[in-house]
Amino acid sequence: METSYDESSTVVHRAVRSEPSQTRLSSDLMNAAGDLRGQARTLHNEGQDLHRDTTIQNWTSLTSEQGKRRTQDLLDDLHELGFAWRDIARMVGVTVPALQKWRRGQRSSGENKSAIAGLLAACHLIQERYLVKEVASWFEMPVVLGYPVTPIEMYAKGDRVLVFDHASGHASPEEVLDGYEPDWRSRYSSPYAVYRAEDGHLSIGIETV
Amino acid sequence: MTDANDREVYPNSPLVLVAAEIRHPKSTPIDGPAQAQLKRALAQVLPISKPAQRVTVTTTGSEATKVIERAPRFLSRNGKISATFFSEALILETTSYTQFEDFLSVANLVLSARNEAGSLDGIERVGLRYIDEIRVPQSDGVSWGEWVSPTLLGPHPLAAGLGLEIIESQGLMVFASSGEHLTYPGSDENEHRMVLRYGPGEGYAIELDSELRRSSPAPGPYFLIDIDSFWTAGATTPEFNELGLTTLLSGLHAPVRALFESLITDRLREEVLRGNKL
Repeated sequence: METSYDESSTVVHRAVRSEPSQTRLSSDLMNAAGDLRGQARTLHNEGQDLHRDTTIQNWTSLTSEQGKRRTQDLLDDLHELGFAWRDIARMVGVTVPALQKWRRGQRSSGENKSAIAGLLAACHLIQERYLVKEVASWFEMPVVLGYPVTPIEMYAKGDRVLVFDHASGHASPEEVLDGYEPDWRSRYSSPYAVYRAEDGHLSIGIETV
Repeated sequence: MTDANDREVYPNSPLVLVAAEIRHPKSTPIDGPAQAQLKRALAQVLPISKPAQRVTVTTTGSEATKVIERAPRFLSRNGKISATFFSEALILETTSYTQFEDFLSVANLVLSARNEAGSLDGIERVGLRYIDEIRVPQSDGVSWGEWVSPTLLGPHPLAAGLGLEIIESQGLMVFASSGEHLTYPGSDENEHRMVLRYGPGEGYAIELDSELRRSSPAPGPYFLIDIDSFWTAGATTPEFNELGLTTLLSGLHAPVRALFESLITDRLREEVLRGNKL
């Protein structure tokens, strides 16, 4: 018998035991319980929480800065980034006529101005911190190819943290959708698949296993 | 070995990864012309080159040494078959396994390509590993006793009797056989072992964010059945022998299916693996 310390428990006594030899995989794919991978995951989760907190703080601060500007200028900046008015309206939570009204100089409520400033701040954060070059196009792209959920939809529904996670790459696209809509695989699954037909052109047909 | 036609292929197979590892004495790195030759030989099946990197950290007292090994790696176009050539092992993996015979034909191609790219000094260990994630149509509070053999549940019933819940467990069993059915040319001893790792888990047993792609069912409870069937050479290190390795891999595969079948219930087989509602 030997005495040793286990990080997550009090002093334990355990028998000396040799692990059986193992057929190795090309990389550390296995997520075995209680091993270093598990510890790394815990650190990863803690790191992810810290990253999220910092991102939200930055976003809040940038939103506050943008809030000092005129609503017309904020909207012009968003439009210049390449967003369609309907997408801006959707993410801000208002109608397109309301946006047009504010662009003509009519006064917006503090809540709406804050939402517009928040969207512009989010775009700047994603561009500058996560090096996304064409931010409007990025917002329109499906998170996972073949599934219709985009950052526009997630932002419009208030899931900003997931949008930042997606932009930063701190979560895989599948993990982002798991956080947004846990049943996304079945909800958007389709029996159809694209394949190259005998004539060489792409066709759509029922997918076979 | 049973014939391929006698072995049922489940439409909803729980297999998520099958790997074969051929361990050998450290060889000279595969680079330059040898790597180009390897790529040409594998081009039909594994045309995508994505070098692998393995980091090994060794600690001695307060000092840690980090060794980074880069190795040629080739993948199929769908990213579901991969062959990696480390300096002391060749690893073939697939996440789209159907029949052993198909896997073996890729293994033969990879072994042949490896030998042509630079001969190996010998063979030390050969392993074949099958990793299953069993998922059942119950999301909360899965009663695993209905789906897998009670022998795999260990103290779980005890915990239920005490009003406790086991939130994590993983068992390990090592089976030995005489190795009589396993032979390898030039080996005076043939030691065969099968290691079974098993237990309930949450999420995925195999990570998603790797070059090797896998199907991505909704994360949730699963039961791990990880069978590692391997052979080790005795005191003598036999020479590389392609035909010998093929025979050895077939011998390692032979008991795996029987072991797996003995670990699951008829209900799992019928309702989940075959997809027939009783």
